[in-house]
Amino acid sequence: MRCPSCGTLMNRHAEKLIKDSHVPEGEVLASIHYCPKCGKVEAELERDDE
Amino acid sequence: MNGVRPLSIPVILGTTRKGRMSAHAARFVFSQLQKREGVTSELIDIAELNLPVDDAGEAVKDPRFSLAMERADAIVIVSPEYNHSFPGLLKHILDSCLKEYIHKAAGIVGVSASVFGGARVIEHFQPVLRELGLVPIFWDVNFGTVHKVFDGGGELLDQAYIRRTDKFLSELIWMARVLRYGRENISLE
Repeated sequence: MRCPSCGTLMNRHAEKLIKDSHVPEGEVLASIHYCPKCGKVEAELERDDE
Repeated sequence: MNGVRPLSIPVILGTTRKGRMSAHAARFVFSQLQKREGVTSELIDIAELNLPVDDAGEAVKDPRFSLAMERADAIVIVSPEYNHSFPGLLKHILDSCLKEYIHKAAGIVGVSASVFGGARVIEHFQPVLRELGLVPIFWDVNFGTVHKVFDGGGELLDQAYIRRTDKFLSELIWMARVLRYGRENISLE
């Protein structure tokens, strides 16, 4: 993933199950990305790729 | 590690109660942080956030608070002990973010009128911090019998707290540096 602020390649450093009432399971896996240049944080939801 | 950006370590004043002595503790810790090279800080007073209470979690996210947590490399939470735990509004505000906290350091400053110095609220915080993805450090600052530590104007009366806070901040900054390195450079397998 590229940083939406500065375009730097972000580092995927964590996964976390987060609550989501829009899916039957009630939670969704999120990948957490960090920009090494500007410090921006992004969460990429697994259902976004499906 | 990115050597250009200073570490960002905001201090959260975690109570809205009138006459709160925690404000003195928060301002003291904030002043000590400002003396550290390579660190920027801001004092976030939860009384100024005015989060709605008719919903919870990310639905009530405050953009300013979210941005401060995103920028943060570590956070200091200054919390009084109310009935052996933390103020409900503080939890409400912390719960409004998640991705912003992950793999960042957290230090707790406990404040109480009793001799325990917020020891119980600090223990109560540990599972909450873990679930939020924060990494708690093993140093705390305990402002016990806080009415004897600060005068009514917030002046520090007990100089021992300078050294105690210094130890606490050194550990927090070390952890903040390590975790930033990890976020920047170490990918999840």
